Amino acid sequence: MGAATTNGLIVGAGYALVALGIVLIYKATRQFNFAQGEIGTVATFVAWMLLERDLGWPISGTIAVLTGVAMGLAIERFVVRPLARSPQVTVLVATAGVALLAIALQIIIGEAKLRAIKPMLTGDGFTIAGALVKPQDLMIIAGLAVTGVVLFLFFRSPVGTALLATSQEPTAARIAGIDINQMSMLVWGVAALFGALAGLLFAPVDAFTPGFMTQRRLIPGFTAAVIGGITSLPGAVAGGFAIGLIESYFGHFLGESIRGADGLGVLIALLAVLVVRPQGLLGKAA
Amino acid sequence: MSVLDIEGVSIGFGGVQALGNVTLSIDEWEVVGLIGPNGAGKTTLFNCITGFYRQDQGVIRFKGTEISRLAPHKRAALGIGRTFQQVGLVRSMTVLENLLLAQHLEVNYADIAGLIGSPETFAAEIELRQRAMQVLDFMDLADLAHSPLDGLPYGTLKTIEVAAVLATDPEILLLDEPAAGMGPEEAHAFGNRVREMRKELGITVVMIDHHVPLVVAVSDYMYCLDFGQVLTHGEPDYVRNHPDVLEAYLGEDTKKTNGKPKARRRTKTKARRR
Amino acid sequence: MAIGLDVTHPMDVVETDLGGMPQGGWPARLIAGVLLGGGLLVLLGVVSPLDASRIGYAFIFAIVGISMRVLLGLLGQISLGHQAFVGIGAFMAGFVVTELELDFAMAVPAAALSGAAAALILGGAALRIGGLLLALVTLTFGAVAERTIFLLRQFTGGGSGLPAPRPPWAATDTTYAYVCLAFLVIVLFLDWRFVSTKAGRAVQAVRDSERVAASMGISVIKYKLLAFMLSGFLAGLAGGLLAFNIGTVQAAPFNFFLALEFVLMTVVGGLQYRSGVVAGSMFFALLDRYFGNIYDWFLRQLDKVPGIRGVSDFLRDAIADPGLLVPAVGAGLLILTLISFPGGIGQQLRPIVNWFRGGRFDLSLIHGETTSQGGSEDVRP
Repeated sequence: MGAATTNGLIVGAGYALVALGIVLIYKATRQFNFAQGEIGTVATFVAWMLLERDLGWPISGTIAVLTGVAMGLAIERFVVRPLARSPQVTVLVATAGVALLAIALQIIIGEAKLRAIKPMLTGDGFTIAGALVKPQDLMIIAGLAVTGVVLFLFFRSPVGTALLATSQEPTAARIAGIDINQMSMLVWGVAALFGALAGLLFAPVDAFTPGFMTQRRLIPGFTAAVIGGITSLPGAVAGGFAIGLIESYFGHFLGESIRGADGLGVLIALLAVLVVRPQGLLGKAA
Repeated sequence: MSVLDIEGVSIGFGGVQALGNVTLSIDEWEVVGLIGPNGAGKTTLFNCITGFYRQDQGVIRFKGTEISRLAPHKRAALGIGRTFQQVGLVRSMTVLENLLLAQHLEVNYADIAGLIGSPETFAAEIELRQRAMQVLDFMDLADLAHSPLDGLPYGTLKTIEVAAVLATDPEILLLDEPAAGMGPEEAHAFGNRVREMRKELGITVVMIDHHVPLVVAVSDYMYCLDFGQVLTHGEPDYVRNHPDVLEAYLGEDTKKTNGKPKARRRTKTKARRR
Repeated sequence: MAIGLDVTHPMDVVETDLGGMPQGGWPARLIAGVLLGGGLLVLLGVVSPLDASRIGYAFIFAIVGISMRVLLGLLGQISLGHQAFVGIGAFMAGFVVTELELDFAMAVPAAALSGAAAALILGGAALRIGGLLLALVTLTFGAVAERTIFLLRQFTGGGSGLPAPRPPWAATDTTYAYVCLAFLVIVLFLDWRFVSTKAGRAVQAVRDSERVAASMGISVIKYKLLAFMLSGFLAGLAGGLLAFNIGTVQAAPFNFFLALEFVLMTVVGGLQYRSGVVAGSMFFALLDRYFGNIYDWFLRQLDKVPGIRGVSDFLRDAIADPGLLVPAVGAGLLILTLISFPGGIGQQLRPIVNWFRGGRFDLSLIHGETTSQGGSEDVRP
């Protein structure tokens, strides 16, 4: 139970990172980015290729994150912006297409293999409540903490305020001289940064495959964003931890009798929140 | 006999009182005009009657039956038809298809029979088409039967919408700004058509419009709403010249423009109160 | 009280005018239709059993496409977990023939009904939500189906798979392909009648505006659930047919990527056009099965071009398994369709379909507005 809690919180921190990117984009543009997870896999893939050439984490990680950001900007410019007037679902399907394309390219270039990436920090772990915590696990928590602080400061800066204004009153923002396209690029860039970071932090925890962030982290990330209130950044963090714990507890208590119990827990949590409190845990009532 | 009774209806949205204790009564076979400045609560009242909003207080009776707890589609089934400010038609369908759709409640075969292509459904569909064409003919729209809605002028869309609602076979028709987007002549023709509808189809009509002379010309009786309350009601000439109404519409300038509406009135068909 | 229009206005009914003079007349259409249909029947008979099985697989995909179209095209709600309904149908079919030892005639209806039931439950649970949230719910449901439902030992044999032997009267790949074609024809008929009658119109009205639909007396909840149920029914049916096409039902194929393939084949096909959805679905199913052959042929052609021998060798080295290119091609087509050709393949087929329906063969329909709905592919005067 204690170990389940510790593990749940660590995994939840990673989900929170994914959810933050999703919430950021939704908050600013009312769109779901299905490729949010895949940006992380692409970054991981790039980092792995560079690490194989002995470039070390600082250089590999930086280039990988920049690749992720470039991918986010490319999606914004070449897929999302041309579809600006389309229904939300169309953009969702289009970004799903991007994710599929990215996965396919990774498989073509690098085969559908299970790979291990070098951890960022090595060293012995320690035990909390019966769970072995490795330094890499702590990196996820640290990554989330840094991201949280950066976001908090960002939304108090003039640019952050302008961004909020754009999302709430697009027409008024345009009249006030805010460049909507620039704001959209900014949001996608920052969200892609979080996505890349999430991938890089998750990958060393266990092995990675092409599409691993989309297949295993995207649904919990989306669910965390939705149950947290979809426009609330603190909600995304709370949602991430909640989903991490729910998965962990379902796996812990039901895992032996029901296969995939963790995923079942996510579905139950999602439906429960949508039925009982559709605006999410920290969301404002519509 | 009154068809629609609204008694003490109030509704608020987040502290803003949209309707406050509104009471009005609509008689059978009557054309009732509902005027008032923007934000007076006219459309909100329609939304309460058709069930999109549930009033906080008050009673709404249709032919003596309390309907406040019925879902919108059940109220439609009782015979309450309405149009929308933003044109209540299905944009992706043709004019004729919209009229087929509007006859939903008239269709007497089961959904599943339609799906599996049961023979009687083919005959029923032909009948629906014929009836749709009759309604379109009545509204002088037969030529447009097969056009898609996209690209038709707004005024035409509003007329098609009225045709669609007529096809639902309503007993009472709530028209929300039906003449918006129409030129003066078109609006005049539309007014005549409303009178004709009442006469030939025996429908009760409640009509919201900003075009006050049109409402005056068409209505038997008028209500004026302001800030969610009934400001005054009575025969059209009485209401349009009521000082409170003029003030609500024109604010401070009441006295200057007082005579103007009277002068224009003569050009319109004289409304008779039965 | 009835309107009584017929009494007060005994006017003539204006005949439905299909507009313009039909080109070629009805005999030409009849001949073309017979040639097309007959050609397909003959083709199935003469190709190798392996090809027949692949074409049968494509027919099944077309049924899935129609199932997607009901939900995405008519109700306007997306399912990112459709592989769950197809999979449930497939396992149900396997369960009925293997565990219950009943035959094909019981298995396929059971598969369809199980798909309908699953979709009804999910649709009911997610009734008040739509759009993006529903997409997420279906996505999550698909994942649960993949990782939990399909691995329930009592129902699916828990990973080792359920055998689904074909009935003796359709044991060969060729005869079974005819069976699949027959089911596709029935499904197309159902889809045609659905959009031409009360329920299909009501569903489309709900898609455009729930308020307008309700004001016409349409129960929004009822028709949402009906669309879910029909879509699930067709998906389950396709799953049941698929079980006998592949012979053994296993969880692996019913994964998240299959769900994405269902979405993209329907979108690339063109949601609003029945013909386009069928073409798109079959195209992707066949691409999946034949891409290796096409790729080999392409490389052999490259070999014949003097001076660039190295290119084909490089490609052979670089891409060991050409099947891996299929998702990339599909995803590329999807994005291209969404951004540049929202009408999909169906829009490109409009001149032909329109001609068959008695209209003119008008190439400008390709560039026409894409708002036309299924069931209304006729000419506007």
